[in-house]
Amino acid sequence: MKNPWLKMFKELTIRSHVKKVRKSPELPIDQEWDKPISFFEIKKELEKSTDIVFRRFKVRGKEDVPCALGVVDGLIDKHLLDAFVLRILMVEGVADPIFREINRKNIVDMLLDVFTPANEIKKINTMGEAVDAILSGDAVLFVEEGKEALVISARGWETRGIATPENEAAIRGPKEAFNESLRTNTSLLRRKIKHPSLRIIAMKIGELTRTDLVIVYVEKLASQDVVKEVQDRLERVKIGGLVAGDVLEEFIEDFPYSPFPQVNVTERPDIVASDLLEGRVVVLVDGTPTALVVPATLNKFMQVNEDYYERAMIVILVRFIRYLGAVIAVLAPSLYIAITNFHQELLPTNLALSIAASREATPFPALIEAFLMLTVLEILQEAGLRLPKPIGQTIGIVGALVIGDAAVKASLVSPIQVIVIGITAVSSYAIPSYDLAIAIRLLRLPLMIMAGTMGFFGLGIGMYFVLIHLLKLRSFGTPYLSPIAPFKVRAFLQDTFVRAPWWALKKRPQLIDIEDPNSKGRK
Amino acid sequence: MEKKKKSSLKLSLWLIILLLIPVFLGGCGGKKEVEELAFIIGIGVDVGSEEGSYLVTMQMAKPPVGSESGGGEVENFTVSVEVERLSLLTEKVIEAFNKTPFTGTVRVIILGEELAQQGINEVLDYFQRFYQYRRTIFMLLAKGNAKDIMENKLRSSELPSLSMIDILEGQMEFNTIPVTRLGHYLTILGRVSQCPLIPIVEVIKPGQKEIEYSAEKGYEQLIGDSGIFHEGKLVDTLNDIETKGYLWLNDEVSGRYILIESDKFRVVARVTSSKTKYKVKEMEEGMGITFRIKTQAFLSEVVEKGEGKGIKGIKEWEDFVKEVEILLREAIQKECEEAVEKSKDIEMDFIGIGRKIEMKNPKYWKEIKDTWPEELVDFPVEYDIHIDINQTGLSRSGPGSFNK
Amino acid sequence: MERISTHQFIKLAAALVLGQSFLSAGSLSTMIAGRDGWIATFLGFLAGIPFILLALSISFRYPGKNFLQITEQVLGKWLGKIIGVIYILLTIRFGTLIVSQGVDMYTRTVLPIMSHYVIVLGILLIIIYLFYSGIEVLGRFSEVIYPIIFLSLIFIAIFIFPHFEHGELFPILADGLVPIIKVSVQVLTWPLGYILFLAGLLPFIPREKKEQKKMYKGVIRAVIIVSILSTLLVVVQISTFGPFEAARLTYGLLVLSNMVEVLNAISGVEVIFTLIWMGSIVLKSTALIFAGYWGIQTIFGIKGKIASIFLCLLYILIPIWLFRGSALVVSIWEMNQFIITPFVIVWLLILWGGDKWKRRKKAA
Repeated sequence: MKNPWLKMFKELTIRSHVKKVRKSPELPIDQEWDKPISFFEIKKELEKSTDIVFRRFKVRGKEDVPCALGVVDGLIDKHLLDAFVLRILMVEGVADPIFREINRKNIVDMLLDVFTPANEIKKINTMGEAVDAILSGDAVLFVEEGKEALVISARGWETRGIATPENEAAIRGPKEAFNESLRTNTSLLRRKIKHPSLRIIAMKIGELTRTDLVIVYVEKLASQDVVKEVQDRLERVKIGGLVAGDVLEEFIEDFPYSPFPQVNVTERPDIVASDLLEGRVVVLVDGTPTALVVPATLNKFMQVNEDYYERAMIVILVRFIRYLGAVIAVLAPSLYIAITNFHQELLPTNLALSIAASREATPFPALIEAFLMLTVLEILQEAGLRLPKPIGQTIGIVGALVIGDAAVKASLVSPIQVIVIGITAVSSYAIPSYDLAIAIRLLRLPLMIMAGTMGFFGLGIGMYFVLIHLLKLRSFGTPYLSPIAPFKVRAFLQDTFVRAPWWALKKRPQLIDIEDPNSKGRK
Repeated sequence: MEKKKKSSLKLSLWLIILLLIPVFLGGCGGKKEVEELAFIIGIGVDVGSEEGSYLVTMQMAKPPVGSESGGGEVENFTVSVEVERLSLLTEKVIEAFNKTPFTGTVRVIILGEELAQQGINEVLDYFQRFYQYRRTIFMLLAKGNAKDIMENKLRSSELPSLSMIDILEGQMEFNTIPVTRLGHYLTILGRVSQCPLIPIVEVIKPGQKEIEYSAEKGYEQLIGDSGIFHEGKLVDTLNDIETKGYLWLNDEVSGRYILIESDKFRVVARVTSSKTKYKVKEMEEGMGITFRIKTQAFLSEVVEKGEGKGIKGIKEWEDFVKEVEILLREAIQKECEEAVEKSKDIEMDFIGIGRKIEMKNPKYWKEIKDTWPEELVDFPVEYDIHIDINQTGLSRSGPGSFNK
Repeated sequence: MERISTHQFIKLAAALVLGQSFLSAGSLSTMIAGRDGWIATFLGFLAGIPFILLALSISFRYPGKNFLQITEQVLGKWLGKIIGVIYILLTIRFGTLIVSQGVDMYTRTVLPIMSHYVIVLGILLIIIYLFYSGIEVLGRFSEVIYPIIFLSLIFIAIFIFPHFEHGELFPILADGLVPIIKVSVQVLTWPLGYILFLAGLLPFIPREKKEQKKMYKGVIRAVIIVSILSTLLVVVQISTFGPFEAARLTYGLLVLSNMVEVLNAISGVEVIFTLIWMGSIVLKSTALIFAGYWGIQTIFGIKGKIASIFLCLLYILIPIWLFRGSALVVSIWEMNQFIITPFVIVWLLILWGGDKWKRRKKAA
């Protein structure tokens, strides 16, 4: 590879991240991972962190057996452990005649079977499992000299309650959102789908963070190929720290260099549940209040949950407006440039005259003007995004006054241009998915340049290019523009640009490959 | 799989490079900012001072300088240039003005009378060849010079061309002049047997054509009558009634006011819709054509005179309406007859009777094709006019008629 | 192996039979047949159906093989190679001519002073990208583009209605049947041109028995719809311009789109139509690149990458070097009439005969 460009692009291929694994620091305990449990070694390694506590005590059975309870302070429910483990083993159990039979050999089984009234408990025998359990928030009951230990689930840490969704506001429908706790999130789904076919498969990702995640799908609805592909891709992910589940999106998508989002991200359990029932596969990550849904198609990004809660007639109008908004958001500035620079015959004469009059005193050509305005708009958007709410209003005022009024009064830009950019900005907010809106923002600029240099022809070239790119995209095997191309009659007519009434949705949509499309009742 | 992905990525890199080449090397062809253009609304063509040259008048609309709102009002900006051929126009104008004339907004072409007599088809080649001129452009024949008409200062200080366009588009409700678009003219030209008509525009002084106004601020213009063209040359003109007759015969009437007069009353009927069909068939004097006109109308004014004034009963009204229907039929037929008479007079088939024969009876048409316009002179024409007066307005007889 | 679905196959057939023919159909059919040009257009397209069905039925007997491979198998290696070479040259020339027509469409109208190589490169950019994206994407592209083209043509027909001249279509059949038949034979070349692409596409279409029936029906329906559409457009042109004007205009449809006025406010929309119609030009020439690509692979056994680069270069260079707008329509017309029509008909008939004869020999 002599050509540096080619080399660079070779490195930027889809799964280059598989080869390059970030090295994690190696501790002595990492080498002992698969060996039998040795309490003292674990204690030696973990005691260096002050939040890890080892409570050592003796079980006074036939003989005194020194035991220890290893927990992370703050992750466990102290009350629970005190009441059901320590109290029994140290105080109440002693009165029991069977308790007197405990010795070094049978202690683990005795405790497991009889004396630990916790509902989730299991026996382990490797170092790794023990360390993992402690750090994940379980309590581990060691027999100090033994080679086995018990993991007692007594997790109890502070979590946020179930709040209302902040970014996906809706007027109708459920008002709950995922939070950072994985169990809460799966429970939210289980409460919606009370059928044994809802499968939840657990995995761990991240060398250092060892983050829990689950793959959720409905057996017989989700295509086995997709489930397997999701599993495969997740297993291939080699990453040191997975702090937020959103990171995974980049690892598992098919075309990392496409501006278009290929994984659906949502914080609403009702959306996820209905996606599951459409045969999609969901990835939930601990510590992340959003779910990743695959496969994603373009029209999925244009739909919101309310489309299914409102009546069909209203939805038809609302969706039309949304698609119109998307088209305007992509095209408005480039159309304006193309028309005023190349194809003035498209303008009604009066409009042409008033545009000409308003542009008479402005210094910049339309392309530069649009470029400036869009830049300012983008900066305003980005600045407003992260501001605390009270200051946020300032941005609005500054934007409206400086950009809208003063710039026109100072003859810096023409009023028509302000209108065009204003319409563009407003329209892009009609796109329900933030990810898609960003993609559209990315497309706007190249299209503007094409329109500014070659007029409608250039714009057409750009549009066809984007179209072919969209046709080429796939998300987990599903063509991105499905059901428009490849054309699926039922899905197209029932749930793409319009939504058929619920009673007419007798079969499942053919948006994606699913196992059993003919099962009755859509959701 | 992995390998394929790589190659596709490399490909997109090359494609993007390939894309940039035309953008930066050859793009921008034909780029013009909108404020650099002068929008031509109408073009007038006259005969130039030299043999074979034209005096072209361009009426451009200019946005008023320094207006912030930019709305409505426009400044008149009219230039006349003498050129050998029309295409040379832009080149000439660009030497003298800071704006490029933009022809995409041209809506009307006005042809000078002298030019029309010499022939207009040569002029039209330019208009039908360049893509910015639409086939929907209106054509008008100027009485006198086109230049004078375009430079006429209207009382409303509107652009004369814009005003003409408004008049022609206002024809939707009442049809008194034929509306000829460039495409229509060219199509008629294709039918060898028929002569196209172009309506005439003229500037009228107060008192002319029964219109009075104060000429302090300027003069009004009027579109009426029409010129007959044969092989691109103006050969004759139709007066008002003949033009209206032409419109009846060609099914171009959808609204009209018609005055009917008899010794008993004076009535104005308003035509609300009309449909003309024709039939070519054997008649007593040989093959002939029958025009069948079906018209609906209502009475918009009734003035009774003479004896028997004051029709009272509803029954009487019915008879009265029937009487009006007969008279209205005669009035319409008279207009038609005038047009046909003119056509026979000058031996020019501007009504398109020949084409109508061709449509209905192609065999017979082939026989008479070669001698057509001459054959017209004793070609029998009949009329079959049905009138339906469906209402008489809010009241029946006129005010005060009961007193007598 | 990539595959296209039956639905995509049918949409592709419709889009390619329609191709860019609508641009010049009005002018070419009225030139000889006058007012009856529309009847000729209708009949000409319909006459293509038996040929397409014949091609399909031959191919179903040799599943997974393209026409060139079938030819080699039936007619022997050398004859097969000769036909193959002609086929490749034909697709290249025809495809580049269509690209040139796209350029011509732009330079004649909305971009009269844009240098033509810019337009060539622009269009080729799309074509090559589509070509490299594979046959599946081409199938999906046709699914998206064909309805849009269809609607754009219907839109023109509706909005041009106010400009119809009275009774331009009459009298019908004034000049008898001879000119109609003459033009029909010429129009036949458009559906036959589709067979050029079909010849290479065959390995990619579904092979199930059930799908075959669907494909027969679908293709018949597609061609009928296309013929109705083309006829409608010719009717519209004759009614608006009259036969003499319609024959005089190079691209009658562009002039029509130029005349469209929506509510007296929006006019000059031809540029939007040229954009849409560019889609059909892209589709057709990409299809022909594919045809040439498969041809080269079959006949010379060259690796895919080299063949594709070679083809793409040719497609870029030929329209740039040999572009002559004024003679373009004529050369496409001559190419269609004197080369493609006879070549496809002869090829199909020989193949059909050879196949029959071989079968009989086998049975005996």
